[in-house]
Amino acid sequence: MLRDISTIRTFEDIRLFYFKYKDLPEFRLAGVLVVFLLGALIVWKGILPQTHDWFSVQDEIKATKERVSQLQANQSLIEGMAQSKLDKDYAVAATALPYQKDYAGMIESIDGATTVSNMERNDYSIEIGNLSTKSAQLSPQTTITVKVSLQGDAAGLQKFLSQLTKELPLSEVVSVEYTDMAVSLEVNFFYKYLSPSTKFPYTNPIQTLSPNNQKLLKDLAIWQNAQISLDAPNFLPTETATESGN
Amino acid sequence: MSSEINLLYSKKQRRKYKLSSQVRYLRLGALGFLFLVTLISMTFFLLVVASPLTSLKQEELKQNQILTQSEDKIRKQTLLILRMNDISTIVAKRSVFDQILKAFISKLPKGVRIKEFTAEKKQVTLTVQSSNSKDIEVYMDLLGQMVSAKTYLSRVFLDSIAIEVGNDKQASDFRARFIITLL
Repeated sequence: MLRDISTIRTFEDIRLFYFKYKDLPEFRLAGVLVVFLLGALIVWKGILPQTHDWFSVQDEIKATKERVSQLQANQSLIEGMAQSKLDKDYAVAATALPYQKDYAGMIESIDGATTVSNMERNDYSIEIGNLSTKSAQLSPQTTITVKVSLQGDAAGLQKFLSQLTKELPLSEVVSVEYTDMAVSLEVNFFYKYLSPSTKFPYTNPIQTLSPNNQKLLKDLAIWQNAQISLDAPNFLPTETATESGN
Repeated sequence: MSSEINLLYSKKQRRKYKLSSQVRYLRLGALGFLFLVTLISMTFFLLVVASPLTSLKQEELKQNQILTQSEDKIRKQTLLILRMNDISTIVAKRSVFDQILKAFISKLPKGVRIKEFTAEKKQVTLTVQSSNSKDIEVYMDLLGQMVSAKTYLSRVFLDSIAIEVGNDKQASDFRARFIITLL
């Protein structure tokens, strides 16, 4: 039979070969083998990739469903928020922790605390530091130090320190020196640039304020004085936070 | 019955016939397998084509477009949360020198006054002055109680006591200097 195969040249040869051997079990067996091979080829090239595709599609469906559900949740949350309250809260938070150095706010804070405590204010200096370096502009959280000299008694100093914790922008007294009515203080005022990498994908869950932060925000709003409406920052991350204004 | 009669199958022929019938079954099996494989392939193809992915993607796009209209709100809310988290950390970690000084002042016995108060990080230096040594002693006890009660203070160290002698050769002024470690 193998010899006959090697002599096949034309279609007629194939026909003769077929009729000569078609009834042989080996010939039929070869046909069966070909069919099985064909089936295996379909499994390998067709079904396996399709199975993979199907599982990928299922994963994608699941992920998309989750995203859609999150988008719907975000939408209902956002719809329930009053724009005016959000603007107000945002302004309070941005005044408490400004996006850039708020010199006017710092001076007003010290003035406010001095007035409330009946202390007498002498000189004060502000240590600004390097404005131009990239690291200065992108530092995650920074402070600016103000050195203050005051005159008054210990009770007045206590009132001053207490009042300063309620002034915005937020500050921290890092050192106090009180000797015989003379006070010198080092106060760090906080500010924080907005990281340029901050993203706002809609599919992320939009959070709401925790009860603690709600209470803190209320306190901040109480502490905030009349200057807020004058200097409320209108900063959104479409712009890059830089020190260009200083 | 003779094996020479041509109508009967020889042993070889019988084996051949048996093999042929087995091949028939195999052929049927092969065709069945091919049909099954084709059917499965078609099913998967139809499942992929009929999946709701396209409609879900459209829904996602639609929701995104709706939220784009509230972009300002989303940004403000996100920034508000970030800012409040930072503020919360700052407020929690701020020094409480005002409260410490308030506690020192509130415990001052009559006739005792604060002469010096320096504070930095976790250390406070406090100098009190009085014309009466007893009052200084009382104040020392009170500071000790603050340590015991863990009210801001973890340790009080009496650094020095200075006594000023007046013109009448009597002790007229007492000063005690404390070095205090905060909690």
